[in-house]
Amino acid sequence: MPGWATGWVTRARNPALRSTALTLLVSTVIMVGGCSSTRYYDAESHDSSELERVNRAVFAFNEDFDRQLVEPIAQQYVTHVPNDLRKGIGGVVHNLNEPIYAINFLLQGHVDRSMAATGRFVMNTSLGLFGLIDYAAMIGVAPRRTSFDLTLATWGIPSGDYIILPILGPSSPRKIFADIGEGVLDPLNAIPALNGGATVAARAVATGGLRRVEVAADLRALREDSLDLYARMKSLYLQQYSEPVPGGRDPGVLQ
Amino acid sequence: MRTSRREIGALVLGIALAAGSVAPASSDDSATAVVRRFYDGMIAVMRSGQATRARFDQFKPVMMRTFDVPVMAQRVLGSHWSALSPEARKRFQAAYADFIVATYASKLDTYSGEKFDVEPSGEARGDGTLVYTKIVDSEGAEHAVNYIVGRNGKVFDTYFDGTISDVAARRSEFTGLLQRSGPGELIQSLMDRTRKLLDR
Repeated sequence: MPGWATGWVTRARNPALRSTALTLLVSTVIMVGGCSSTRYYDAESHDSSELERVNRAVFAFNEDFDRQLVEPIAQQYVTHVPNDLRKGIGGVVHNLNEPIYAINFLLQGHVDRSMAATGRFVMNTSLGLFGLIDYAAMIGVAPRRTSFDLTLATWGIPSGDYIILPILGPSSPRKIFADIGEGVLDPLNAIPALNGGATVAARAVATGGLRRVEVAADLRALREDSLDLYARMKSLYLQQYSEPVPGGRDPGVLQ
Repeated sequence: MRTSRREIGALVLGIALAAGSVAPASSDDSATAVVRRFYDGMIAVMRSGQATRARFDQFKPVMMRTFDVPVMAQRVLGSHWSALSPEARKRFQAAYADFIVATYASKLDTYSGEKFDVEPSGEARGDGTLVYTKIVDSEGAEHAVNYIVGRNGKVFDTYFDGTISDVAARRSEFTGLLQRSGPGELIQSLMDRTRKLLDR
């Protein structure tokens, strides 16, 4: 969900924008990650207590930020934009991610999924009018998301500590590295028209914003029935990356 | 008041069960049927249009029939379970049962065409059978929810998005509270939250 902002940081080819954003990111990582030496934890381990204290403070800030600003905007969007139009907008924005999904699936060794993502991009961009219509899904090629972070996870690279970034939310040293790498790998960033700072930022905000709208009901439910929202969300987040559990027929696929 | 609500609950439940039994009983009477009956009960509650507390009373028997609460209560506390006194275990189990019913009952307030598809055959696992389902919400978005059904025919964990264990996520949440504040506080928090969910 919160990969969008790291996404725009990393998709920016504009050197000035990128270096500012990177400085911000790196300083945050040093600030947050520096608290906890260089030990590498994996999914099920616990935060060292200082890191957890910082994480919880940033999490509380993010919750406030979301409730005050992001959630109301998301609600307005859902209220005022009809469902069919929202689907179309979502389709156009998500369609731009298919090339990087294709690359990641290939790096994970899933040639079939990589071809499916490539096919989806070609069909939906052309016959689906830039993704407005999910033509590929209609003929049976369902969407599948993934990320470079998941690729690195399937390669067995440890995530490092669980870190909550301001506004961007749950992350880890591996994820920060992966988001930067994804910006470099994304073939669409090689297209000059899509490579301006503003375009990259708009695309990232749109992807993140739409994701926020998609998870609105889930997030509301989580807030309502959690006794400790931080701990529960941490577990839900980390479980995405843990070994395939019963039901894990699709390791490497983000939901 | 309480009695009449119970009576209404029982009546509606009776209707729900009758409606459920009309649904075609599949040949595998086992794991997938357990989940299918659970969804039938869920739809009945959603359609009932009752207030939250009445939905709670209506849905509790459905959930108690479907979920293996004693096993879940134990798993959700992990290694901390054995440290609890028998009395505290009993109180935790009761509070946890009401809490999970409330989390469902508070949300099943309306039926707007959601579809609950249960894959016809489950998959054998070491400790039970995994049942794959898909919930299609009113806007057409699909959610993969899988259940693991133990040999006693009861569900002991739910996997959201197909792979994310509900019990594991709750374990991180509950054991943290338990360590920080003790079992009494955890049980009280569960009861308080249950009340809050039902008072909405």
